Amino acid sequence: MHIDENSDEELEDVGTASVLPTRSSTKVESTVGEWFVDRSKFIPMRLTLGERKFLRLLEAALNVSEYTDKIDTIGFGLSKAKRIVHQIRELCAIMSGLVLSADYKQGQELFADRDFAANEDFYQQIFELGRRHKIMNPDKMRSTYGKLMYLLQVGSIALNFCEISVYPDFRTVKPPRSRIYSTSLA
Amino acid sequence: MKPIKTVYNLLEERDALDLLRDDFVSVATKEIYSEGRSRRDVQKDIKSKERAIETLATRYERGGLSQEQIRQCLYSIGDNHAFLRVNRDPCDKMISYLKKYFHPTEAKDGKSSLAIKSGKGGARLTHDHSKQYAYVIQSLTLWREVLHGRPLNITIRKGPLSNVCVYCLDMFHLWSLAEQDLLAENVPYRLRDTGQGLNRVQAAPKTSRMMHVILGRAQKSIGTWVGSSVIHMGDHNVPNALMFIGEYLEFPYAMMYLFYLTDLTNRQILSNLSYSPPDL
Repeated sequence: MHIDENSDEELEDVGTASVLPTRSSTKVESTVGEWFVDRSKFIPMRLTLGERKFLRLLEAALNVSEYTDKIDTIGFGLSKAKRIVHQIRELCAIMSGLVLSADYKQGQELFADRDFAANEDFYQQIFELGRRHKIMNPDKMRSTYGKLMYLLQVGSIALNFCEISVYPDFRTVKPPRSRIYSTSLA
Repeated sequence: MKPIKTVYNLLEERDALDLLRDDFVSVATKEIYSEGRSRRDVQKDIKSKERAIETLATRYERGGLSQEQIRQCLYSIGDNHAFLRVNRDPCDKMISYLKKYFHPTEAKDGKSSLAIKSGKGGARLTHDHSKQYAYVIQSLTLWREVLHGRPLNITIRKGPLSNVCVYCLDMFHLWSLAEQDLLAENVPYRLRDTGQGLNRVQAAPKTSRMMHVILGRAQKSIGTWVGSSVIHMGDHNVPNALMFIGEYLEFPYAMMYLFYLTDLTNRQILSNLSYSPPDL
């Protein structure tokens, strides 16, 4: 284990060169600090207890969703755009149903609040939890992470929401109770 | 798309990045190894780590940044160290085993030969011993680089807590690039039958660029390279960045189990005990 000056030159490309250590001891102390600062940009925050509750909710919804089965096929009856609309709508419906059953007050706000931006932010936050959890625990979410990424890959989720205008329909979606039970049993 | 919440984001928002520059951070987030050490030493390390965390939590607590959040930050950095250790160390050990038990060019007998023949025992390539040795060591080195860039040793200060290894590139960094590639709005995917079913074929320029840097490092440290050094990305072999990340995650698993078994066997040989499964 030694410092290899040559190979470190290449690191400039990825922007870590500024924190490369030098041999002088006084400088080293400050570079270690800078190294931690730089590294922390790529260190995800561990999920808090409150966040874990929403994570389980997301996982449950993703488990039920057949997003990739329905989208990445050839020769399905409906057009692709319609299939995507249908699947995302279903996923969000399941999630909002689960939120309602987990936290009645917040769930109510989700249904009652017709402000599009507010709810989009809520789903984005929950999706972020799933992505963060997976990066820190690659052995978890082995099928659901791919589903989530493919769902988000279609473009920015905001775009989806706008295009799909999932919103007005939300009021008519009943919390899918039977689904909640089936996922909790699984 | 919401960016992943990182330690940096949280501390920057609260104007507390100085926390990371504090000398106590390395102690508060360090990995505590227990192999070959006495219980007392390990306990001492745990105590000093806990003390460092508490010191930082009280020192940097302020409005908008609670002690609990500071602890969470430090735990997150600790998680990162633990992740890298669990995934990287088996790889390092495998390289050292290979170097210890096999000669690079000469195989004394059939048992110490690594030669493989296409069609035999599931092999798809034909390599003699020295070629296979080079092939294995280059694969292990590349994976080692992917999981965690070469260590740079820095001595922070003299004393019992002096040596802390720091690293450059790593899996988390690569992962964040892969996510950016996957979710890039201006890079559409095409649904194609790649011979392994329908796949979303999408270019991944950021991940690809990073992999070339890593490959370059691995090649430089080995000197020679056996076979193809093409990085498949966004083609029929590796359709997109998600598949790429998935592939590299399989490797530590295989390594971990293999290592667990070899370690178990070694211990049995050493202690000259026959293995008896534990009562269930």
